[in-house]
Amino acid sequence: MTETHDDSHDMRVKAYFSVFIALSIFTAVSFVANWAAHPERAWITPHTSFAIILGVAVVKAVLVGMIFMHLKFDWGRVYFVIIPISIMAMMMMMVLMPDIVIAWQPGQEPLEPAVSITGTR
Amino acid sequence: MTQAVHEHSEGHMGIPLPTGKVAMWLFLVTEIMFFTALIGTYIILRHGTPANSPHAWPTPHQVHLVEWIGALNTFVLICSSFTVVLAHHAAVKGDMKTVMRHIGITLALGCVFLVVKAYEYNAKFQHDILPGHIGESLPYPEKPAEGKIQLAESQAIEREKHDHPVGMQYFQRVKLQLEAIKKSSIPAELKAECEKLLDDMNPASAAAQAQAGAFRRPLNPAEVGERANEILEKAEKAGVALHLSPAIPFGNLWSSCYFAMTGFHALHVFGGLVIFVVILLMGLVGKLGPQHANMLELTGLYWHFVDIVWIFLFPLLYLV
Amino acid sequence: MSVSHSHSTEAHAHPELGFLRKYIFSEDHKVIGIQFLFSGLIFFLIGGTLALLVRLQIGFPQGSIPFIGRWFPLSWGDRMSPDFYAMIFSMHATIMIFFVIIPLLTGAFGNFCIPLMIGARDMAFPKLNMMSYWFMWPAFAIILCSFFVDGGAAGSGWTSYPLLASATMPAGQGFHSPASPHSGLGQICWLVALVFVGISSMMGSVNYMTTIINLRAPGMTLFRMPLTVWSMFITAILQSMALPVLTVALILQLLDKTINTTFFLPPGGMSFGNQHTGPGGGQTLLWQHLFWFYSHPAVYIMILPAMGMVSDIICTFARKHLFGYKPMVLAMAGIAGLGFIVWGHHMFQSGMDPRLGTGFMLATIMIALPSAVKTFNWLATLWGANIQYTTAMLNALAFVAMFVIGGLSGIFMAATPVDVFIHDTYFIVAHLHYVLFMSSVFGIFAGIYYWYPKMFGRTMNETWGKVHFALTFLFSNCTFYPMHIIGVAGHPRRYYDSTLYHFLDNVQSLNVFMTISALLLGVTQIIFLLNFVWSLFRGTKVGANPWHSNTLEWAAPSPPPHGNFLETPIVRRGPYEYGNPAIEDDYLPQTSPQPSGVPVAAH
Repeated sequence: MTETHDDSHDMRVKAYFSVFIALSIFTAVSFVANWAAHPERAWITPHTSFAIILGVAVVKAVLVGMIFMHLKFDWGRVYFVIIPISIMAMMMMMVLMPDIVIAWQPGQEPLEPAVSITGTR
Repeated sequence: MTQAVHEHSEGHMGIPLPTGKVAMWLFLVTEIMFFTALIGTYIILRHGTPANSPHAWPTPHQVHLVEWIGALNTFVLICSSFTVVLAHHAAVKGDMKTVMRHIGITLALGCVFLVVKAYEYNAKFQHDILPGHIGESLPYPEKPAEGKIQLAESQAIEREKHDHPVGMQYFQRVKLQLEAIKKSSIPAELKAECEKLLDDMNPASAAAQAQAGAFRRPLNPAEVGERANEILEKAEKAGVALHLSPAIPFGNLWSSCYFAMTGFHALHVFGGLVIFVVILLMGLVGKLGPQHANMLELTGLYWHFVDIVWIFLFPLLYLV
Repeated sequence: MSVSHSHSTEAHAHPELGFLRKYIFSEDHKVIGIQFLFSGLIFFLIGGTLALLVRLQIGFPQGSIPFIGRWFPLSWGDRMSPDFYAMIFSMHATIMIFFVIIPLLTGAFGNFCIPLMIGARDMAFPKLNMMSYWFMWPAFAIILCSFFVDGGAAGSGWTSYPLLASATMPAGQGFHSPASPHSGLGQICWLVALVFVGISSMMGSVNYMTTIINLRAPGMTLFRMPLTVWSMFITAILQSMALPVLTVALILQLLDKTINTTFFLPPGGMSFGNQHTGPGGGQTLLWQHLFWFYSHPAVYIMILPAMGMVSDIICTFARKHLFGYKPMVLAMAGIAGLGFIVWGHHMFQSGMDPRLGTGFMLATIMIALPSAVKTFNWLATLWGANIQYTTAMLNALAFVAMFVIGGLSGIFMAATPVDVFIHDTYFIVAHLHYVLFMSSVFGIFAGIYYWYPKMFGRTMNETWGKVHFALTFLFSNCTFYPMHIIGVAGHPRRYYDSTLYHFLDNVQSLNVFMTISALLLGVTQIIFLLNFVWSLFRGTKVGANPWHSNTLEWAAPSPPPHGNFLETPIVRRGPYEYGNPAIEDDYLPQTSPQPSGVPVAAH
């Protein structure tokens, strides 16, 4: 709960500052990736910029969580809260996909039936 | 928190973490699910729009979303996260003056965030990018593209009957806005364009022209939308703020998602600011001490969570 | 322990609290639990009255009810209009789920039992606990007022599907919905009330989890906790992860109705005759996903606490240890975990991709496994036991038996091809009432009869308790069992007048039979209420442990003082040490010192 060792104190401040700099740089990276993928310039494809931007977001979130929120130090005591909620959050978003995103929309080409109804092909 | 201290005596069952920290993490679990539902809704709705149609999701330019302002806000929140964790650090060391300073800076940075957000919201209000106001699903007699499905005539009539009221709502709204613009003071060229649009929308004047021999039918809502968009482009180039509803496919859904997500995030930011004010007040009356290090850590946890939500909101809304 | 002594002197040194702080705005978990109990029972009466109105309409569709015309101008004189009927069954379900069963199980029993059973002085955050109760009061007020607003209370089913529930006129025309008068202000009240209920439950769940994790008495390891506490813990996990999604859904629908957002309005908006909503763009099906993502875990929230309480009650009155303690805990965890991935089985008819439906079907069928494990374990606990047929035990046994029936009908629904036939028929209504009324409510009755002495220091009358049980059991089976039959015959649910459909002529007599049984069932509950109230003042006074039970709450006085225990209990064993032949008594409380010569139990 309370740290008394001065060395670990200063290391902590160094860690916080490094993370702060990293977060700022990553923000700039994602902004540049978006700017580079703009249709006027198209230096990189939208898919590449998407991957970079979301990857950067995940890294930033992990850094904030691990260092600023002290998860790196408290992991052994709270992992049983973090892991289920991470699974739930991911799962919830993915499971809504089939019914709404991949579903057939009016105006699309009609779908081929997966199995022939009459039994012949 | 004294109860938490007592519970750490021998025979303490449970995890070696203060009760408050356990509770804060569990509370953050509920908040994570809350924002997952919101962000998940946004992702689903966005990817549920037909991808290869001319009616794809609005681009940031169409809805007056400026990326660098969002990036600035991200940077502001990152700085505030840094200062709040330094505040906790100082509290652990017992340096309450530094704590007060850092919490004050965090509060100020949070206020900057909200001010920038207010500026962005104001831009949306100015351009009428509000849910229900944007011209959408405006009926236009269009020829189906090569190879696409031909709508049967009865279906076309049904669609027209269905789409027509939507178009007329937009038509009426634009008409009222143009009449207001006529009374306002804007550069003459723009005003002339607006008046011409109003004139073209007026069936009486079109009929009068028809009588005079030059046939001109009144505009249909889709054409009104196109003309309104053109006028807005010109106004933006001239730097004039014109209160005219644009026509943006899926603009209403975009606007709904934008306000819901950033609105709830802003509410959570505001809640954090309230807590900072309380801490500063405690410090001003001399009631803040090293025993509050725990409480500061919990406040920091909440604030970092708010930061993480923005870390995901920013790219999802502004960038990709 | 020096710490505990200082705590107890602290308890005595507290200044005497005034009436308001002691009984109204109390931070004591026991008082808050009893507050939830009283409000839950009052709403049980209200929800029950609504149920009787539903049954009256179904049994006698052309009949009239005298006071309706006077109080509800939207009805057809003294007859119910179809809209009125829709309002009645929607509000019946809403009140029963959100204002009766969840507050009684989690609010009343969770609050009262958890700290006592784990040996804590109070919940981790007493002030938060108090707020969690008082946040229910705006919900109470709003939901009751919603009956009297313009257009009446919500009438789109407790499921409130868009667009019936959510379509509002374009801005400037007030809160009227073109779809139905009951989807106007009444629906908005419904949404706001449920947001308050959700916030109250989320606060409570964080409190319960923290208390159970960190405030257990020395020696109370997780696997020495009684199953009541385990069930409350797992239920709290369910609530904390599922409720926020419902809150989001409610808020999105609220925004759709008030500020013209388009989350659930399809592209192009919607026409209602001559009227038209604004342009749309959203996805109507999204509501169903968000709603059922919460509402399926909600049904497990409504059954797991009852399962836990029933396990403890059965062991106490069977004078026997629980068969398979760890499997019981793991089964509850399994039900909860699987409960998060089965919500699509409420949407089999929504037009989803059959492959997605198959996934949901598989997961739903799998939930039968842990439920079966629990049922077999209860039966094995009872096997060869010296059963004492007290009222609490009778109710608990009824829980087990009725849960089997309810669970079996659930399996029919889990299979998508069968569900396509029975969806939205009375078969579903039968299932849900077997698991909600005849399992959860019997569990609640069992818990009330069991913990009443601890709460109030007096027992309820056993004879009248048994009369109440017998009549309730008889009439509830008469009311709900025939619903299976008429459901399979094709009787749809939520229909205002089934006599309009001649293929249902043969089952109308069953409808009349069920209505009469339901009325008798309603009258029977008066016995319970009289018993409850009378015993508060004239019941037999009892000491700390009238049932000779092992769990920690019976070591505290009845009723327990502020701070619960005179000194911090030390737990030496699990909660189910009954009928050990080496010991003279047939029970061995968790805090008793180990008798000499008796080997210490394994865990």
